[in-house]
Amino acid sequence: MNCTKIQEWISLYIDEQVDEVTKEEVKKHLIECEKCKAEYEMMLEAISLCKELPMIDLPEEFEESLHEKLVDVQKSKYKKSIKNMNWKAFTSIAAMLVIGITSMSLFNFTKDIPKEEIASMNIDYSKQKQLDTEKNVENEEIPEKKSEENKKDTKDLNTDVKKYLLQKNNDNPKDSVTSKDILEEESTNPTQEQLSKIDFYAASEETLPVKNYRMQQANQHIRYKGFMTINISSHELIQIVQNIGGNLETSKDYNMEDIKTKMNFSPTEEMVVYIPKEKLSEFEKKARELGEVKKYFIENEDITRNYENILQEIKNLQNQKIKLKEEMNNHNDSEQIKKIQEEIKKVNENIDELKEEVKNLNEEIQFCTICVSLYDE
Amino acid sequence: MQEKSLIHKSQQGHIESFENLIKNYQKLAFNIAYRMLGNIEDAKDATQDAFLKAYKNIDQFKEESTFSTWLYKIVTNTCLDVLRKKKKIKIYSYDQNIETEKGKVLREIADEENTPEKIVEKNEIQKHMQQAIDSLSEHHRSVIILRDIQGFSYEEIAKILNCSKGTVKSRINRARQALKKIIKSGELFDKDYVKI
Repeated sequence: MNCTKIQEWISLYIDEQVDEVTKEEVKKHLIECEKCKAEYEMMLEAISLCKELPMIDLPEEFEESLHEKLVDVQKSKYKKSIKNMNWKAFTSIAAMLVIGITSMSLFNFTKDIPKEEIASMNIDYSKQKQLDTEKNVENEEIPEKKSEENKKDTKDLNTDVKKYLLQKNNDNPKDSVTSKDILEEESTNPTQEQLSKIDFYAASEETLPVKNYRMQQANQHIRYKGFMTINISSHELIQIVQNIGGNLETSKDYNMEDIKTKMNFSPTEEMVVYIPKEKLSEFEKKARELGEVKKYFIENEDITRNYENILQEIKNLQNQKIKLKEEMNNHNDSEQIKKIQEEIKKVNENIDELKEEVKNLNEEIQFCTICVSLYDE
Repeated sequence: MQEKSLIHKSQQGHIESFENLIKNYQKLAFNIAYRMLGNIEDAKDATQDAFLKAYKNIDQFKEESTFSTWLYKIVTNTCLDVLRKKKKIKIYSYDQNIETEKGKVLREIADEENTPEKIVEKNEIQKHMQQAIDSLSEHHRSVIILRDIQGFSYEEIAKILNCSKGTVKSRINRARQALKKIIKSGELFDKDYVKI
């Protein structure tokens, strides 16, 4: 059992969200592996620090000021409803009057004409109605055309994305799963995220100042991480990062320890920053303008296999779901159906979990993680 | 049963019933907002906005979930909106460190001597924990607050955040990893305070 997989389970293990088999595996591993045990204990510590955060009381005037606001809302709501009511009352009275008058006049009118004529009038009336509806159809055609145009637009986008993905997966063997399959199965409309990813690929290839940079094939997923030593303050660094649209959040995390040991370095202060890949050279330029960069190093890691494994796993689960659904249709026993439904629910959960993983990986692919060490001099 | 009749009366616009209805939940709602936004002023505004939204739209409350879950959902979404707007304006957050001649100071200290925050957050570790939470991404922050600070179940969190249980599982794991890393690196605060 490898440590990466265990560390993915630690959080669920703590909350008792894993099945018995996994629970035993994790338990066993934590006895054997010092590193994972330390990670586990640190996570427990972080959770208990969260739990210790106190509940704070509502600000003093909270309820009073809320009450005033609620009264304001009620007043405006009430005003509106009065307006609506008046209007409704007015129209209904008017409608009743109109009906009353017309029916009375019709009544008077029909008294004087023979029955055959009334019958032909009815026919005329129905003809008129038919004509009216035809007119309506004509009128409605225009918006329909418009929506067709819209559809065309999205269709064009669709084919663009498909083309891109096809090209992206050209080299793959036929049986392997591609993100195209997954995407097609999930939704035919490309999201903005997928589209921007295409732009990103185009932009990144020229601008990356990566040392051991190799030609990136279209179907490869590369994660970049790096290291910088510079004599600016953390405040200045924050400003640079914010100006070029990077961020400081340690949200997409993976281990930077290996890089630090590789560089044999223990700095006084460190920050982890996330820089959009296409802005990397801009980041470097600005940093060099402000301070003296002692070390700067970016390395890449091919996570294509990892990425594709997850996609494959999603595909497998989706197949499993289809089979389960078929099985469910063949059963009549409500107990059995319930059981299968439970299983489908579990499979769905797994699929969602993996999709979230893919999303996280996509984020990691788009940003370059740099561990910046700040020294005073 | 009583809650049902309060909901019914609130749907007819009865303010007092609505106030009674939220009475048991408003403190927790406010605390979610406080941890999400990091300061009392913003938390108060966001909570009140959320309650007003709930009052206006209580007709739309379907009894698929409990009222409290529905209310916390509105509160969380309102906070997420506030955070997104803040991000756009790109102002420095309260807790960002600033440099002075004497060294690094916390931005919030200057005008904070007697504010309730100062009194409430007696404990330095707690204060720095809030800073660590502030530095998480929106999604990670919300799951940490709901799960580890307020103790909601995975199912409840899925309902509040309108996503599947699988997503919640994965997100909680990621968020905890991130939080752990922040605490460990102590990148946002001095290492003397948090010893792990």
